[in-house]
Amino acid sequence: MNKPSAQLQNLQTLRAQVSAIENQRTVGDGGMVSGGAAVIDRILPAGGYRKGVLVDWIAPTGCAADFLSMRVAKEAASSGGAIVIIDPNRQFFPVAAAAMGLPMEQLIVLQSSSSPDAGSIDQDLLWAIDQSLRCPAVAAVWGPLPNVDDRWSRRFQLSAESSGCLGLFVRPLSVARQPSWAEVQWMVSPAARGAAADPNLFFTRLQMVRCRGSHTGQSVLLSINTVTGSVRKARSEYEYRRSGKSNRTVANGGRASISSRGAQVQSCQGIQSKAHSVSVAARVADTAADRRRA
Amino acid sequence: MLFRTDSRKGKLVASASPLARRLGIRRDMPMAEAKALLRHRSKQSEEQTPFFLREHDPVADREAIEQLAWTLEKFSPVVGLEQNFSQIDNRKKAKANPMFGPSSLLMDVTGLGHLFGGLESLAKQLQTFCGQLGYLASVAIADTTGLAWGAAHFCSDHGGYPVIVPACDQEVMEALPVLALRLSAESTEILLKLGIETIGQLLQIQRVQLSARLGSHLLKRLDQMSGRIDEPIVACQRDAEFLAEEILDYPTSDRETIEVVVSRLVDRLSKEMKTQQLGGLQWVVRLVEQKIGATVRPPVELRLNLFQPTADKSHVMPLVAMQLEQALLPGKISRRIKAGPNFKRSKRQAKYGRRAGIEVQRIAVEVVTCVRVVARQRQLFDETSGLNKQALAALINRLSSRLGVANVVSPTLRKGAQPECSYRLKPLVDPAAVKKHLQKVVAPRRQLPPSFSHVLSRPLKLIQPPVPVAVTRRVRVATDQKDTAFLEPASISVSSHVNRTVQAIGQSWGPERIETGWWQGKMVRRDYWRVLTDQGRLLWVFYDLKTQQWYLHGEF
Repeated sequence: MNKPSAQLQNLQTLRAQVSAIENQRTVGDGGMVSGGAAVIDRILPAGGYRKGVLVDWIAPTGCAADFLSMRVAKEAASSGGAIVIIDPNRQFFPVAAAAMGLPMEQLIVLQSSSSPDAGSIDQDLLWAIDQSLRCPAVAAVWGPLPNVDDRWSRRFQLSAESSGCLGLFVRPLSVARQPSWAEVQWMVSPAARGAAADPNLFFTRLQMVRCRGSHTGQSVLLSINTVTGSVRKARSEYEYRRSGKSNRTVANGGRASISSRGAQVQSCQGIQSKAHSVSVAARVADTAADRRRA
Repeated sequence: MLFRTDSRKGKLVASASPLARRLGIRRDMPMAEAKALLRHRSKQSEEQTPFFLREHDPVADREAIEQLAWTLEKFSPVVGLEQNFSQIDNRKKAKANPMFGPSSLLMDVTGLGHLFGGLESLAKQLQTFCGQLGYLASVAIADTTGLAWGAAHFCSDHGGYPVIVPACDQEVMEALPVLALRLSAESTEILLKLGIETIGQLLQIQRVQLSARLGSHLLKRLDQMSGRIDEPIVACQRDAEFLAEEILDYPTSDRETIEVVVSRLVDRLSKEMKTQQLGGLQWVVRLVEQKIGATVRPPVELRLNLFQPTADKSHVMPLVAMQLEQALLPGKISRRIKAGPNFKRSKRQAKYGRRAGIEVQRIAVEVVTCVRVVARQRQLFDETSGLNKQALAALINRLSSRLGVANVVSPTLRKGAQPECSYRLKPLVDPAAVKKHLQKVVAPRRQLPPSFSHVLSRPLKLIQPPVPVAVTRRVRVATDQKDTAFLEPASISVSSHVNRTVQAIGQSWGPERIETGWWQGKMVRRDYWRVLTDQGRLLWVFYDLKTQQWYLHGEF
């Protein structure tokens, strides 16, 4: 009777030893940073990202990869530290970061004086990324990173290890099949939404392409609530229909009216949603949704 | 043209180029009138001359002329700023109106002519040197300050041949207009009304009558111009308190040698500042080249602006070394003080696109701005604990040194509905702001986050400028709606660097109308939509109500 439990214990001990050997290079307090959502933390072998590693999000544009990676940066900076934003194309919109709850005082934006070609990055900016990753006062370095030389990638990894800084990079699809020095690599791809799904939800699929100490290939369908910003595991269409509760919502973001601010839409758990406002500058107008109902 | 903003009259012309003045633009003319005049003239003439409009910055003007005065100390040990007549007559008026500022430099070149091959040669070299720095200089040399000022302003064109007024030449003085006396506007107007246009006409009137009618200031100016009373030149004092320089026995272009000397000078200044508990915010390293013949070339200047004041050599030297490496790289053009349009390259430089190595004779290190390091430091990230502030400051210094001060920025939010105007990126290294902040004990203002109903109402990636896209609208049964702005987008044609794809829109959220007020400049009226394409892309598009065109503005 005790044999299975003894085997289990041996297995756990061996796993711990392997993990210790793999992670012994980590410098610093070895703290963990949440992946930005409980569902993502459950997939990660350590329940989060270790400090001092690189994480890649490989995605086409418009899949909310920026949003998901910025959530991790926010978690990393919650205990103090600057967030260095790499902005080679001068497209970073700080207002969106502020809406996500990031304090502006903690952001340092690095731009390039020359306009780079599509898919390339200035050498000075690569040097700046390396310097930022080395700095112990920086919690995370975030930004788009096109295809770079393998030597730079290795340099980034060593710099992050030395300081305990997180390197969070959103990368193009062209780097998908290339070797990487990232600890974790995600593939973000758009996902179709179900007919019964809450209109406030945006769906995206997250697949683990690479992760040290874990089985790759795991994927999860995420639902991102555009109102509250919460990230959860998406329910299947069957589950939605089975829940039997209508997700009645008033015109989601389509009501161009000046109503009370601060009213929030509840998450799609079958709870009736309240009317919410969308900021409008000048006048009240009929929306497409209202005309549909009419 | 330069314009200034008047609280009552709005935007007025502060200064205009000679071409603009020929077209009828005058100082204090309303900008709307000036622009209308320019448009009218450009329609009439066959050539389209581009015009540039900038806001006048009197503080920057003052700093620039002071900088020029210090640079011209190689020609004369006494270089002063013109004491503006309005400042003398009415200091309160001058203080209230920032437009009154020096526009001329006065130099004492007594006994210096032989060092430059004569006064004429000195004047020419001075003019050439100013041209290399980007200034069009009118140079005049005379026995008295007043006569030289008058000759420079009224006897020579800008950039024209320098004027040397012979000694005891009364004719030149008498031919000058009364404006050359640097009187107040009221006094000049009275003289012109009386029909007195030249100084010669003025000298024919008895002094007693002049004094009774126009005050003693007129006589003082006349006496200064004729040399009866002395008009000393007040040398322009530098703000810099710390300066160390070394003259090399033999000129060298070896980078290692230059670095060693610079390191020695920085060490000397650091020790001096530490004893006074000061830290440098702005460091300047000047490499003066060997003088070849009578030619004087502007020095190579390396400016180091720091995020946090420091007197630590180990902080300063790596940044200086980085700039030295870039400035002295063989085959590259080293950085100089702003070279103007008159800067001419040698034939060799023009042919090969690079300059020869510089032979440095003298090296100077100067701390232009310094503050007490024991004062309250600028509290960036003050609320967070466990932060290595020194390491962060050192990182910001290194990044600014390599990328440039303008490319290492911190975002601040602004009140504005238009997305492009709702934030501002300010350089983290701004010595003037840091010095001001350190001198005042002010708690940093925490910015409140913007109030949006959706966390994902704005994308992290804002495409600038917005890209025009083709959007088709959903077909409706009842088409009595004429205002297309409120019809949902049905499909969007988005171009990538590979091809142009048409994507159907599965869902859209909006519209969110954004309008700006007429007082904020060009009015903007847009209806924003968040659209989810059938390929799963979440985009931010808007319909411009003025141009009736759709644009892609962001990607989530």
